[in-house]
Amino acid sequence: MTTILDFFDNLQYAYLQRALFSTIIVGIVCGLIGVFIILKGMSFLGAGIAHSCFAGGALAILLGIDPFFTIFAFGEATALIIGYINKRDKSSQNDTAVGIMFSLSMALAILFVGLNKEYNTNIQSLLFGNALLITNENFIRLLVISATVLVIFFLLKKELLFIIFDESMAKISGISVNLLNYLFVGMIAAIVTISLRAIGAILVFAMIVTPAAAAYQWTYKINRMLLLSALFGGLSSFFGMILSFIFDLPTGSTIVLMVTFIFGISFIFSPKRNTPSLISSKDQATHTKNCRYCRDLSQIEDCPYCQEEEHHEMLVNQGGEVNNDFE
Amino acid sequence: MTLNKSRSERAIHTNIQPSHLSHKMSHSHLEIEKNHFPIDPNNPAVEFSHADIGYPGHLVLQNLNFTVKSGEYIGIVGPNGSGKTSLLKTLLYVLPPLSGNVLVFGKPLNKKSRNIIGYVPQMNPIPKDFPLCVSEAVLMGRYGQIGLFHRPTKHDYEMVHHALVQVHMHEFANRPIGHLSGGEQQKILIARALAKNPSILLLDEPTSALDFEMTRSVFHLVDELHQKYGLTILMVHHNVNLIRKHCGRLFVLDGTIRFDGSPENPNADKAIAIAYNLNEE
Repeated sequence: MTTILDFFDNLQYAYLQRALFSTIIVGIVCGLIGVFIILKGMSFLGAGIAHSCFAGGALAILLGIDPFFTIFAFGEATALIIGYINKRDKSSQNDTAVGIMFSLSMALAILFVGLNKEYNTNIQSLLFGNALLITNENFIRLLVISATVLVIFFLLKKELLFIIFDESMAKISGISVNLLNYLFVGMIAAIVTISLRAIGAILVFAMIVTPAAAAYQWTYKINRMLLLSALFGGLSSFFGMILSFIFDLPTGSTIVLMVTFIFGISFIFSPKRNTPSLISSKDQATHTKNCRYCRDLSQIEDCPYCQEEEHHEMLVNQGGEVNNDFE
Repeated sequence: MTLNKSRSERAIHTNIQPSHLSHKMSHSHLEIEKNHFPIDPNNPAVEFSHADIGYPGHLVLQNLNFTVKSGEYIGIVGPNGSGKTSLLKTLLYVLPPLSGNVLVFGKPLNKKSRNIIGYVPQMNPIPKDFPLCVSEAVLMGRYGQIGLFHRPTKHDYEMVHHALVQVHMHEFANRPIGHLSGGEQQKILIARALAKNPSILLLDEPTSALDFEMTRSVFHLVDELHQKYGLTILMVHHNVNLIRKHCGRLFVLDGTIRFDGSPENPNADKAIAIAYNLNEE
């Protein structure tokens, strides 16, 4: 039986090194970008772009050319079209444009696959990914694009967050909102393109959304969320690769299973849903009724005026009676 | 008025931040803001002459002629579509005037004018779990000054702290913004507008989503900012009676400025009645 030690023994081979590092890089970069995607409410965008990349790959296989450039072109074109539709048609939701491009790209992909009369294993690897097939050239491309995306991402992090939080105020502050929105979807397309070989068109969506969704369960701070999301993405890639090697399973699937497991644990143990209350729920109801600062807060711990014990006791001891003695 | 004039003069003649913002700042930070819009305190804060406002093919406000002195508190009322928000957008240069002149402290209105104009928008609900703390949200008010590709400096964080002190919310600096009540979130948005150390503060229906108690609290804060720091304030509000109690000068808009004067002036009632079509009832 293959063991974890065999995995580390085999790490001496370049193909396994490339596979491991590629998936870890993909996990980290998807995890970072994914944070802003889910905060922006554009989770579906990753799926739309991934499927258009698949159409690009299918076209390349039909034409017998290097799929990298068609995948990249299809991904970027889809991202720009979605960005343009969203900018011009404010009445429709983000997902409307994504839905249209999603179905169009799938139709094109099926058309290209149908026109290709010979069965080609490359199509399957585009759909489901195969990290072990990543060539040296693909690995270098992945490194260059990941580094470029990360540099742009960290340089524009504060502006991107401002746009997500309050787009109209960002515009008033002089930030080129349209340009940055296009740049952001362009970055997503670039990440999806490089991820396709490692984890496939279907599963790349999970790597964008799930680590970020897991990180969202743990923190209220954006930097911590970015760190956790990258960590979850990287760790699930690492352990997913090991599982894939030991049990001879598809790499993309084991990575996504790992990240979904991390999400499940995060969701169950999320401090956002499990913060113990200082007092019983009955007393809390009394408290929130009486303390004008707590009225809109779900947890008393959130109220700065209730941190002092005296104030707490006073509120609890009031027993729900309304105090009419106004100063 | 006098208070504000002295504040502006201090900022110019000594090339430092106004004193209310600098009591804790080191000397290295006592410098004029980058891209700061030059202020001449002898000029009015805002001056509209024969200005038309609107969109190409759709005139919203026409032939505006008025002057806002430094330190004035102006309440702006009018029915929906009367041009209240468009007037504020013009001052922010989001909606440049179609014709005529608009001056800010004697200089023609342009994108740089935004550096001395703080804007508080209508509040949109903030998701409870949004990963952003109060100080980070306020810091966003300084992104125009910080600039693209630059990181916030110590000075920026000091300005954030002072803005939070001004709205009495400094104890909340590290709290998630989604955990605050509506009134507190609105005060944070006011702090965000103050973080750039503006001379003019524009508020667009800042209490539209708040209950009476929180509305009163926000109004008290705006009164304090006006009295204590001498800010020039233009506030759009739907509650005519409330805004009249607080502002020193009232604009009634209805395609143009139907009334411009003291809120206690009896003609204000007539203008409001006409603007809101109350005479027919």
